[in-house]
Amino acid sequence: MSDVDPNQVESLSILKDASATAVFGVKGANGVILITTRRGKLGKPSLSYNSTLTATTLSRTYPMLGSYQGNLLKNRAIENEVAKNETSWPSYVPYKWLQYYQNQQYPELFPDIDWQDEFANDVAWSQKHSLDISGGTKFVKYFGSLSYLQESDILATKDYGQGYDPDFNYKRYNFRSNLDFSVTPTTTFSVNLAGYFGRQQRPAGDKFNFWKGFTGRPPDLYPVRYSDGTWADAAQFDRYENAVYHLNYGGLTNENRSEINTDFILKQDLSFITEGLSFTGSLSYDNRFFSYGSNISDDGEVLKWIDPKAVEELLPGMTEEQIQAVYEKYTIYQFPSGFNGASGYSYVEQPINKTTEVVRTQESNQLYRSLFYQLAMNYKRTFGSHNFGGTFLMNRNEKATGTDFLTYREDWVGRVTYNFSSRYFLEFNGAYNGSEKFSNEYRYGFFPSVALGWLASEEAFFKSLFPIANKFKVRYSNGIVGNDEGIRRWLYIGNPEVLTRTWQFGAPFPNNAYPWRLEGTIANPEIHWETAHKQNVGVEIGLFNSLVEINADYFWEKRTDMFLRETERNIPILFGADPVGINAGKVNTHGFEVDAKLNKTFSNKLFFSISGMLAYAKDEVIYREDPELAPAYQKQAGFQIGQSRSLLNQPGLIYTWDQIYTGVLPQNNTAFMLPGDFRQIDYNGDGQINDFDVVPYGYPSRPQFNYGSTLTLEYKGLNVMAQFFGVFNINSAQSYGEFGLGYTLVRPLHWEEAWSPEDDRIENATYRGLRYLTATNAAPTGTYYLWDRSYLKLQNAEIGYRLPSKLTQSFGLSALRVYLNGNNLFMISELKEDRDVKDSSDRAYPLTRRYSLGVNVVF
Amino acid sequence: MKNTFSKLIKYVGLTVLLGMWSCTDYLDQTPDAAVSEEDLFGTYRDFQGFLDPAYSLVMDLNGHALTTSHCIGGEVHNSTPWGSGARGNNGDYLAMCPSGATLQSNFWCTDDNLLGDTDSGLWIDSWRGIRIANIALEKLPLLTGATEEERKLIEGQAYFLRAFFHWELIRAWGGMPYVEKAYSPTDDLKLPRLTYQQSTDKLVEDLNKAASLLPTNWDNTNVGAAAKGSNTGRATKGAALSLKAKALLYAGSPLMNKFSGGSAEYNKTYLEKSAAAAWEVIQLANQGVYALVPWKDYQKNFATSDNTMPWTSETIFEKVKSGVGSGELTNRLGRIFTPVRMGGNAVKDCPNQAYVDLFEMADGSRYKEAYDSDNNKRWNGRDPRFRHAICVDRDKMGTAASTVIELFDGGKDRTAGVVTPYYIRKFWPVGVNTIDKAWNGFRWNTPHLRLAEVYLIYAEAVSEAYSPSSTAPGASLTAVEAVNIVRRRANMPDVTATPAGYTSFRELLRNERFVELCFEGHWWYDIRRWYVATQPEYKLVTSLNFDKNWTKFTRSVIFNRVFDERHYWMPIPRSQTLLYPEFGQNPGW
Repeated sequence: MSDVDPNQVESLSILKDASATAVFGVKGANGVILITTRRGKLGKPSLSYNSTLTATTLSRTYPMLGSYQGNLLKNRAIENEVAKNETSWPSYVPYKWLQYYQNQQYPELFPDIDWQDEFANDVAWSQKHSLDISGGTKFVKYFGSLSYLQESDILATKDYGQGYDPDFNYKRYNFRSNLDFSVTPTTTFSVNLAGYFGRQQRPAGDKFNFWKGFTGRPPDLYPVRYSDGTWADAAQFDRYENAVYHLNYGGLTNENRSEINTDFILKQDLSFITEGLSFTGSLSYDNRFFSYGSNISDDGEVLKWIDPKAVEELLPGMTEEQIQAVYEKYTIYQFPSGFNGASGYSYVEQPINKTTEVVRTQESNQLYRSLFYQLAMNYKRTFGSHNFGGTFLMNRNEKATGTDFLTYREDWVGRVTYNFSSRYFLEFNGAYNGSEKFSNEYRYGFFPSVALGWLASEEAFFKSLFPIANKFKVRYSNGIVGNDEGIRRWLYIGNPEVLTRTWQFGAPFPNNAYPWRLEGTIANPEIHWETAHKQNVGVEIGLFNSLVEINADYFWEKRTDMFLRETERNIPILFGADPVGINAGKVNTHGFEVDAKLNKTFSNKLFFSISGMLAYAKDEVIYREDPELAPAYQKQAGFQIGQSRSLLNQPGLIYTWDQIYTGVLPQNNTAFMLPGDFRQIDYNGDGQINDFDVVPYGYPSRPQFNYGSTLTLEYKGLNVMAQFFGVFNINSAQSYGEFGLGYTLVRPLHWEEAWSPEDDRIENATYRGLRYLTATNAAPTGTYYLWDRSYLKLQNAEIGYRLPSKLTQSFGLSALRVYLNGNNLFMISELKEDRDVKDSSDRAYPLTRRYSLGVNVVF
Repeated sequence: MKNTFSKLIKYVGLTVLLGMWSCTDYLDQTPDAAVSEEDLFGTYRDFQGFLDPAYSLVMDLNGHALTTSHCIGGEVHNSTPWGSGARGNNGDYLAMCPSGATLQSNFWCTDDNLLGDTDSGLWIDSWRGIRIANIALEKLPLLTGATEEERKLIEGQAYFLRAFFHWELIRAWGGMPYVEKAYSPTDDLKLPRLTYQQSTDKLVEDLNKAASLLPTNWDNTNVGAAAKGSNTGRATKGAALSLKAKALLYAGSPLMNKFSGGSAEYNKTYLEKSAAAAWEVIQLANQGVYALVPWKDYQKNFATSDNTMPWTSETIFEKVKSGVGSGELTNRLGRIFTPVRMGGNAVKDCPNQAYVDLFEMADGSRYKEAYDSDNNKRWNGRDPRFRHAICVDRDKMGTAASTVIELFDGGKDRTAGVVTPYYIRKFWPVGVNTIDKAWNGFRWNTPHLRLAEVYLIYAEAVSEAYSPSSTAPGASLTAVEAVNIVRRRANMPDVTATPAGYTSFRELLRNERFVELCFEGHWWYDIRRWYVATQPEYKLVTSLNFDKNWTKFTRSVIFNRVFDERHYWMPIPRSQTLLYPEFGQNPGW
């Protein structure tokens, strides 16, 4: 979906209830996002051009402390723990060295690197241009679009002399042509051809080396580059190699993606059989292609690292040469792989290597093709006040990614609609869905649904009773939907494997080794459809001649026979193989959605609109194969999916050695407890803190509430829009542990909140005493790192101006509009950084803020 | 035109639509390549291919995953908190495998598939191995295209592997159900835990069957002759008997006896059986099947750099690993045992000075702390096995001048994480380092069973069941003589039933195990089964500090190990102990 060009989109709608999604078959089990692309309209050709220029910057980030503060805290951490862990002591930083970090007297030995500054630019630029044409004659209506997108990334790359700039950029060309032919007065034939070609260039260096994030790196390991131009790095820093170097000297790769979507749709009016009958047949063929290259590979350069111990041999009054001689003594060189230093030959820089475009296994595994065809009979006719409608369709879809066996799907759907004088609405749906994932016995499922509606405002009595209401509609739907997503293929027959791999015995290895045979996936012949029983009741209200519009829905859903994957099952280990997935889970969900909108056009052409939305959803696990002997508070049943769970902290910290031994101790690491640690609540009262004290706490990791508001103001050619979006009732863990793997990794919270025996932090610290090597041995942090992830964001804001038509026409244009758009402009939240909830690693890509300037011209 | 077209649509459309009803098999797309049971079990080649993955589940007790060794009993210390040596010394058995630490997946990980199907830790992989063996035994009737010899080889290996994996489980986690069936998903899986000795009785039955079915040397079978010299690592009669002797010795040891309902003392019934089994292996050695290698070839038991498999006439069973070359240093061995400067990594298992002290002087007298300052006695003039196993300051580990190890305070190899001035070199041949790069043919293995250990098993079983000067019934070797065979190979003087410097023969024998089998994954099991691990002498981690010129030597205790009563058994993963009451947790967890 991310490669859809928004410019080609006519409308986008979200369908959720069982009745609405029935015609989409199983694909609609979790709701449907329906994208309708633009089509031509009868009339003269209309040509428009749209162009935007976008600047992207980083949203909120949470950088590490600099070298001086970091090392100061490191010493404090070592002082804290040395009584229990003597092996930390050799890492203590001498006072003089601390001063060097502070005064930057020897920046090559005692660096202070802000990595975000070093390998992220302040701004990344993107641009987009598109040209659309639409129009139509009696015979053919057409819409055509061509667009070009060029995006760059915030990573700072440069040609330092390596011979190339491994700049990240993405170039994409989209095209679409939607043609509707009126072949006969009763026949239309549409051909849609769309697709894109995208070429992504990116640095090829080992991502593991630079993808630790912008902020998750220690500041004090080495300077980025020494004054003689040599890049810094050393083998012992293999967890935090020089990101700037790896980014720029790892070569570059290109990935080419292209996709073609073709639809043929034939609509035939069959009124000659009976009035109101029509037939639609469609065939879609999608093909996605990937290739790799052309690329540059680079084995890199000679790297070095000067041990800061060199500073001990520097004497006042030394000449530059003498200083360099001392440095040289303490320098460790690192050569590109393949160079053998012991061979006696000196290192010669290898030229970079260029390779041409290829399709490798990795890309051929992403090749995708899909064939979809659908046949549908539609009926729609009015007899007086009786309006009938009906649809009967069947479709099949076969698709495959890479070298997989084709997957198949088949759906049959029938729909009957009836309404009486547009007041009473009735709709029945029946879907008969087939899935190849189930044995013959369970292959097809029948999923019916019904929907009722009453447009009360059309009743005469209603109009007299509630004159202010111009619309009042009540809806109800009730239906069952089937789902087979997430269920492994071939599970019903099992999947023994014959491999070519062998286990080698002895040396030399025999040629007649025995290729492996594995039991593979164990079969579950009983595997069948998951079902969701969904109900929805809603009202649609319009007041004061649609000045105010209100929609409200309440829904409830029962999911049964939910698939429990092998990893979600709890069976005795002595089974000796991965458990078998079964249909057993049960989850209930209920919630509501309300949105209200106020529109007003004033007499002076001022248009004003404000809308608000609030949505709530809460689920409850009814059954999940919880271990029988687990205490109720540790079962999943009875709680929400994704319920946060944590050890609970007692108020305050442990302040003295006495307090350690007079309170309840953790089961593990008892010997490492220190004053300053957190103390947890022994929830089950067994005298120790362990896994049994982990209890449900706070909200789940998905928000219970979403809310939003949009404000629009239009006056003559000027428009202003602001869109807010927020969530609340959400918790999730994101820990910022200190000194990971012994590196100087500390954040402002460790500076501001950590306990310390030396200052006023004794009583009012909120974070435990810092630890250097024993951070993972400290008493657990409990709920400290469980964040309230509520936020309110200004998601989108726009100000635009349409030039007066008199003026534009004088340039020979029908319309001209310029606008300035901002995305993710600010966030109100206690979160330290703006990032995707799902990924809590340092490698998560930080979210961005975008500013766009656009112009739209209609010729 | 209009009419024709419409009719065409009408008839074609309806025909197609109706026609679809009949194609009910559209979704019946079983892949043509589906594998049948005959493909898995029909011939010897297929069947052996089914068993071989079980061998991949056997663990090399130092070479599993990246950064962990089996040295968790205090023989080493490790300043890196995620290192297994540090976790073991902290008594932090519940966090031996921190969640999400995919690269540090180790023996004690109880999560599934951290590094793929064959790298999940002893707990999961042992149960997997048992299932493979059980399926093999159940499907044996399908092996129709095979000779009688081939059928026996399959059956014998299956029994051996089933016993081996049960043994790996019980010696760490205590008595377990003995699984003798490949259960189906709908079976009742709630088997109760057995006592340690009950579990051992079951696995010994399997080993008896294996010993009667398996050859002493695969090269002499028709199957093995086709790949002569390349059958090492497969289960043999000698492996089954040696494992039987070892399993019975464990079952007769104080800890296991206590947890099977007895007292915390040796159980003579088990020891007598152990001695008899060990004697059978020694007789195989006397017939020439096995032999201790001469001292000059000692290292070939553990590591080579000439691309040959570290497997000798002394090796009885080990995991034969295919890994060879520099990656075995930089990604495997180096991540636990060697200096950063020479291809190592930040995780360092450094030998405890207290362990170093266990190596006798060359004349058989015991090491004294006073020798610390004596440059001729501290590291020289010791049991030759000391310098073979442990590397000290000024040792030259390669050919280049810069391969001289510096372990004095401030020395290049005594970096912050190196907590004692020693490195383990038992598995690290000279020249295999980032300076010399003589590593293309580097291989290393940790033996599971080797002849030297069988002599020591025999000695322990006989001396505890009878007396040090006795022999097993019908045998011609005394316990004392068995120990001396092992010592003589290392050029160490003989001992008597009342060895000088030791309070008892038991103390000497235990010391001999520490020295001969050091860093091969024995110490943690040994101090537990003897029920001595809570004693203070096994808790202190000591280091030694000295200057570049060897003028001042200072000892200091750097760590107090945590080992309480509960540490005698590994904790069972909690998710398993909550399933049914008969599969309970070990005490204290």
